[in-house]
Amino acid sequence: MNECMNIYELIQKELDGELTPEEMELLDKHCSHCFTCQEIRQDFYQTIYGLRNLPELEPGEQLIETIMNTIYSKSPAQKSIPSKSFTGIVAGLVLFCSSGIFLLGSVLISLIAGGLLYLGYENSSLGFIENIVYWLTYGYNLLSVFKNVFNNPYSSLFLVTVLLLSMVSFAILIMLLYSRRIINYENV
Amino acid sequence: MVFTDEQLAIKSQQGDKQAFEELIRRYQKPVFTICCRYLGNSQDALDAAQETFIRLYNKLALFDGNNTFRPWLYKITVNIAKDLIKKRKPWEELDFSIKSDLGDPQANIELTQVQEEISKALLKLPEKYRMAVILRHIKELEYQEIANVLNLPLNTVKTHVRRGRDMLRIQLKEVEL
Ligand SMILES: [Zn+2]
Repeated sequence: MNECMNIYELIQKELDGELTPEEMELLDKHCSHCFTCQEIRQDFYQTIYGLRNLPELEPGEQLIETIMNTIYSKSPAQKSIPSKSFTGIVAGLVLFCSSGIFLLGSVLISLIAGGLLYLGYENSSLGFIENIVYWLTYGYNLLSVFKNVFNNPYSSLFLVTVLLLSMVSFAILIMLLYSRRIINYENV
Repeated sequence: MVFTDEQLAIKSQQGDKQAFEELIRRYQKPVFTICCRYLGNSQDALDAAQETFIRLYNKLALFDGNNTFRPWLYKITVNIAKDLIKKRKPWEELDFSIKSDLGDPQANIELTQVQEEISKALLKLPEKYRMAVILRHIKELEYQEIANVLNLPLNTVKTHVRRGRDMLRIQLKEVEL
C-alpha cells in the first residue's frame, strides 16, 4: 500500500518528464505486477493526451476588426456608445411599463380568483353554470371593495408604492439577467 | 521577411498598425482558447480576448525588447480572465454549453465524446487548478513560465497542476469513457 503511494508520486513525476532512469525502472517494475497503479498510470496518460489534443478555438474574423477599430479609430466606437445606452433606456422603459401591467393584472386576477374559490365552497349546492355566474358577480363585487381601498389616501399611497417598487425591481432583474447573458435576446 | 513577436511588439510600439494586427493574428487563437477553456463560455471568452489585446496595446510602452512576448501576453490574458470570473454571479458560474457554441459557428468543430467530457470536467475544477492545467497541458508551457504568468512560486504551480490533473483523471474515470 505504502509502495503504491510512492509509485503515485513517480507517475506524477513521469508526466512532467522528471523521472531518473532508476525511478523509471522502479515504476515499470511495479506496474507490471500491480494492476491498480498500472490503471492509474494509463488513465493519466489518457487525460493528458486528451487535454493536449483539444482543438484550438477560432474566435472569428470580427475579433480583429473590433479590436483594430477600437484602438485606431476612436470616433466610430464612441458613436456607438450613446446609441447603446439609448436602446438601454428604451428597453428599460418598455420593461417598466409592461411589468406594471403584468403585476396589476396578476393582482386583479388573484383577487377575483381568490373570491371565486372561496365562494365555490359556500355555494356547492348550486348547479355548475349557476355557480360560475354567482362567482363572477362575487368577483365583480370584490372589485368594488378594492375600489374603496383607493378612497383612503394612505392605503392607496401604500399600494402605489408597492406596485412601483415591484415594477422597478422586475425591470432591474430582467435587465441584469440580460446584461449577464442569462437571457440572450440575440439568440432567440 | 518574418518578424519575431518581440520585433512586432517594438514596431507596434512605434505606431506600426500592421505590425500590431499581425500580433493579434498570431495570438488570437491561443488567447481565445485559454479564455474559453477557463471561462467555459464563448461570449465571455470573446470579451476577454478583446480586452486582452486592447490592454496589450495600452501597455505596449512598457514592453522592452529583452522580454519574451508570449508569457507577457498570457499574463495579461490570465489577469483579465480571472477578473471576469470574479465579477460573475454565482448562478452563471458553470456553463456547459461550451461544446456546442464554442468559437466560430461556421467552423463548427465536431468534438469527440472524449474531448467533450474533458472540456466539461475541466470546467468543474477549482479555478486555480483549472488555469494551471490549461497552461501546462493545453498550451504546454514550462512550469517556470507558468509560475511567471501566474505570479506564483514554482512549487505552488506544480501542486496546482498535479491536483488538477488528478481530479480530471478521477472525473473522467467516473464517466466511464
Ligand atoms: Zn501499486
